[in-house]
Amino acid sequence: MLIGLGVGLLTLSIAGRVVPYTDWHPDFNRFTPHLTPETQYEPTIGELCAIVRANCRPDQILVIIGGNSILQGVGQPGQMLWSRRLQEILGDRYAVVNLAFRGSEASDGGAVAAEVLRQEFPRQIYIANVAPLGAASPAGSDSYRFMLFDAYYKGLLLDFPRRDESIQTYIDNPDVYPGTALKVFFARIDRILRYRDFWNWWSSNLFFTFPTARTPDVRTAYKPRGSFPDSEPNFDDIPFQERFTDRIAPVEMEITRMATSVHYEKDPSGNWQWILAYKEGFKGHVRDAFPDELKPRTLIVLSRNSPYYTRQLNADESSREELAVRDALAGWREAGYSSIDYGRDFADTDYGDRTHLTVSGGRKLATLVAAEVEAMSERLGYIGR
Amino acid sequence: MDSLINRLGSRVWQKLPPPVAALASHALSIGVGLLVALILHYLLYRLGLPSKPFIYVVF
Amino acid sequence: MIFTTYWFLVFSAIVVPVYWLVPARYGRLWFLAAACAVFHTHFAGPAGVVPIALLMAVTYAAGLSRKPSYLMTAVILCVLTLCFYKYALFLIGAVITPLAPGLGDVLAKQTDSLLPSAPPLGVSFFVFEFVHYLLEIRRGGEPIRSPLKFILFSIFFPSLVAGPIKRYPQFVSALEEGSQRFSLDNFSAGLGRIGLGFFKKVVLADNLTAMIEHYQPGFAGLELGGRWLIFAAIALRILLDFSGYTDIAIGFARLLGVQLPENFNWPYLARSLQDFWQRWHISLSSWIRDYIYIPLGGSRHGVVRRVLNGLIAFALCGLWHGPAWNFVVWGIYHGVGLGVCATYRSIPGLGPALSRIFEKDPIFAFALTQAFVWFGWLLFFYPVTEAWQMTRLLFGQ
Repeated sequence: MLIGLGVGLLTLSIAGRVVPYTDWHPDFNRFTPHLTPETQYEPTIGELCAIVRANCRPDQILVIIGGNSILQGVGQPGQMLWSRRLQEILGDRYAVVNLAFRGSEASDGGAVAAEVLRQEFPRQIYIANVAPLGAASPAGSDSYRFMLFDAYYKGLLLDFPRRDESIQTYIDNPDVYPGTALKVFFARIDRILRYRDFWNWWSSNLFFTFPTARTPDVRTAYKPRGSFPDSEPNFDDIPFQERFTDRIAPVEMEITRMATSVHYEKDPSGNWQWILAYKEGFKGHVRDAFPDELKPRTLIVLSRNSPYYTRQLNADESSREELAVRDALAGWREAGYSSIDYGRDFADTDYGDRTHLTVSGGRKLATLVAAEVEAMSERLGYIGR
Repeated sequence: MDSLINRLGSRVWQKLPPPVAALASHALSIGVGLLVALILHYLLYRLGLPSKPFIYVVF
Repeated sequence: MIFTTYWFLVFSAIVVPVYWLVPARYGRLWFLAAACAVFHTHFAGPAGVVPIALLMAVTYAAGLSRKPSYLMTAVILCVLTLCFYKYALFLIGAVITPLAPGLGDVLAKQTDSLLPSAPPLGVSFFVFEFVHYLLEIRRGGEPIRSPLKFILFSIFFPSLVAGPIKRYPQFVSALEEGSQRFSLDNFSAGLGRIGLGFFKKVVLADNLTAMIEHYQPGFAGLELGGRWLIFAAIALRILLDFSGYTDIAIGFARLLGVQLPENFNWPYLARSLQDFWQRWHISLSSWIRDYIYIPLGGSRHGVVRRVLNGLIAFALCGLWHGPAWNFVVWGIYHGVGLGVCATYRSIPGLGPALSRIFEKDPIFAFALTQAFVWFGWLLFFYPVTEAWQMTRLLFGQ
């Protein structure tokens, strides 16, 4: 029996190493909730790499989209996803792969995949969004850090001391971050046994093994995860007034108003001034978010709030908003990243809510991003001038 | 393994020539080991999954 | 569930090999005792260790003394401990509050403030094992003199949380014999048993649980076929969940060379209720028989006493499962069933006729037994009114 046990584990661990080189998710468009922790499914870094390999030829420039629900395209149906428009604009010279996750940070998921694939796809651009004056932790967010650990403990990432320190903080503080040490330990075990890759492949291609909140009915619970269609509803199917109602708007307006308020104070002449401590903090976060080698090929997109709300800011608040965007753009660029913002000249109907874009907003974003991607490709020497 | 063989039918087992019975016994044992490997591999995966879904909230 | 945690996997992956690597036999058992203490402390918390440590000391000392008064005092202390941690609030709510609501409220609040957030880990199991030990000594058995072996009997980690409820002579002898030399057969058998247990628990039972949790709240809205499906799922889930957990416990014990008693023997093949209780949670049913039913008089004092003793024994058996009335009702339900089984033959005309039918075609006895048991699970899991409603809905009403 022990022979069978050994042979079995060996076979399964080999299978786990093979599946990231298969077409794991045919017709992949983006990570829908059926392929995320929203349904207790944790994609592996092997899985993300498999998606990239299946969608990007070696002669293409790889464009990986990370970031949160805004770039994941909440409110945009699959076929009208903004990143598909980006692919259309950029053409066949590029391969656009949307690896954004709802509720994630700029350094999660797609960022990790891009780093892992830096040698396999050296001509790459990574795109993620943040709020103005927002940043990202080098160790990602709590909900998606499993992908970082997956890659980190397989030795696939760059040497990045600030990330090491950040990870060690999580391990050393079990009261605040319970279970991290065990997660790390089993990430090391997974490096050998590759059970996450294998069973994720199984779950997404053959059958899933337990019901979840989104699939409680036994008739659908065990369907392979990859077979669920992208059923993202369209913001445009909901009347504008129902998305910006009297109930929602005041809360959203308050959030808009407060977004950058803590960072700035009035100087003696009555102008907005970035508070030094916040400025240093922001610059530190920007510096630490990604390894230095990866900054030049990283495009940080600043997501402005909907003009429906920003239009209601008074002149003082408006000028602070503009200053924050300008300072953030400068901060990212000074640190070696590329950075653009969007939303200033967008219409109300380009937004589905305070932050997420409708199909038309997505198309405008695609146009802006495409221009910057082309410029970055020239700067980085991916294409001739 | 003996109890498993008994459950599968000791009469059938006893009718087999001894070398075949020995081979079948080993094969069965290896088969059980493979199954245990599959279960252990899956168990490691399953224990690592979050016990509750991540609740995405639009904000 | 403790066995399905990362911590436990890491713990056992370390403990099992080190246990066999420790060369000296007594060093090996001391290591095992230390590992059991670590296990218990991790899952019970330091405060949860205190009750078992105190009861362990009292039981061990009373056992060595062999004095009936000390033994019975220790028994009473164990039972009171169980009642306090597990049943105090229930008993206050069930007995005192209906008679004196004000007093009941005050007692409930004060008791609640004294109680920990959860009962001590495995309290239902270790108290029963201690009571068994004390009563057997009182009946003339030999006490466990070695404190090490007594500690292992008390906090043996594979069986601490969910049984099987051990009998000390068999456990000590299995421990002495099995810990001497590593046996590949034992190890392989243990691994296989663990694999089977996890398959039943994680693959089968947990999925049935998800199915039940999703569909049962809307039971009335289901089609008739769907209701019967959920009904079957409820019965299968409890068997797979519990027997799976027991398989894991027996498997881990086997990895350490220790054979624990079997706890399940294909209970859904039982052809009578007595047969069922010799196949289901065997360690508990035999404990109830030996330390409640037989001391009450068993079947030695006529039919009426026999039935009454059975009702009391099974009411307590039900209550052991949890501090709620539906468990007591479930226990009494089985007590009534067993009483009927024991006496139906003496019903003029009908009794002998039924007896002949069951002997000629055992399928009828089997079907009746399983129907009785499966419907009983509705009482076990749901309040009486809801269980009755579900039963009616199963018959289209």
